[in-house]
Amino acid sequence: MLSTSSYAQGCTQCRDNAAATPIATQHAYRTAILLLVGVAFGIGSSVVLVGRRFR
Amino acid sequence: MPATYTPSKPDLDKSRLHDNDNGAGRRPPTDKRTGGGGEGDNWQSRPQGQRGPRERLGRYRMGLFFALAGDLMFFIAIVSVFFVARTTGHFDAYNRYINEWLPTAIPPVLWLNTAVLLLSSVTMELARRRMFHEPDVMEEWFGLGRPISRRSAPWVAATLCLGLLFLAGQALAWKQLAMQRVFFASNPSSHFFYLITYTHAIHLFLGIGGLMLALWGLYASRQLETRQILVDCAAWYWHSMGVFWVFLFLLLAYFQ
Repeated sequence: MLSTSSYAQGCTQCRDNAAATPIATQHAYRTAILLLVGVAFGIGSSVVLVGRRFR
Repeated sequence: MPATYTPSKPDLDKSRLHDNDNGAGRRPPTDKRTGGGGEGDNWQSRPQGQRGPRERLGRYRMGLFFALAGDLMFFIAIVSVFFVARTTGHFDAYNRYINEWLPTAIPPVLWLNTAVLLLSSVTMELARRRMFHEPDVMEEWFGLGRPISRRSAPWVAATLCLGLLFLAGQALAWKQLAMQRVFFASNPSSHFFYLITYTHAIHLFLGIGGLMLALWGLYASRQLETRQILVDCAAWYWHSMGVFWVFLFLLLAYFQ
């Protein structure tokens, strides 16, 4: 399930499209993903911490 | 010597049977218990949801923070798309990669608007702190008027005025851009400028609605905790919108 081929199955078209873009765009995609994941992780962690604190 | 009546013990007991008075004074007409650790008044040992005003405030705050977390993700999603759109282009008929992004020069009035919004956050915090100012709370608890509403309302009203001033400033910025022929669909950059400022303005309108509700509650609500909750939640929402704006403004000013 976690092999490289199966990992890429779902979005090969997306991957090809992203690979065809200039380096700056690929960098922007990475920044955007990190931003989204970072904030979502921060919110999730805050909810867990606050939940444990006021349980 | 004036006539006095000293009730005997049986008399006392008889009257207490009917009005549930233990002799320490009657309860005030509204529930003014503090939730402290007094006789039979330890609210922490009660079931969840019945632990007094502090718990109620915490519940409302929690609800608001969840809503704001959703708002934060919404703005972060817009910012993420902004970063990608800034560098994305298309291939023309000659197979050349074209990037149409032209940075939009932000109108200088936005700096003034930012200062106004930050000032409104200060006035709102003063209003919020006034709601929890202990001497005033005690004064009201003793039934000596409504000093909390009286001292907090002017700050809420000031915040409301500054919020409206900020929105008027935003409208002026949109007008200035329109005079320069920069519209929503002119360029990917102007598209994002309008998208970000419009969505933030809509959120601020909701905040102004919250401030008006808090102001109305300060006069209309008899319950101290209801008034505290209204002002506290309006304040946290307002602060969040201020922080979101600073973040979005820096993005528009320096990251185009």
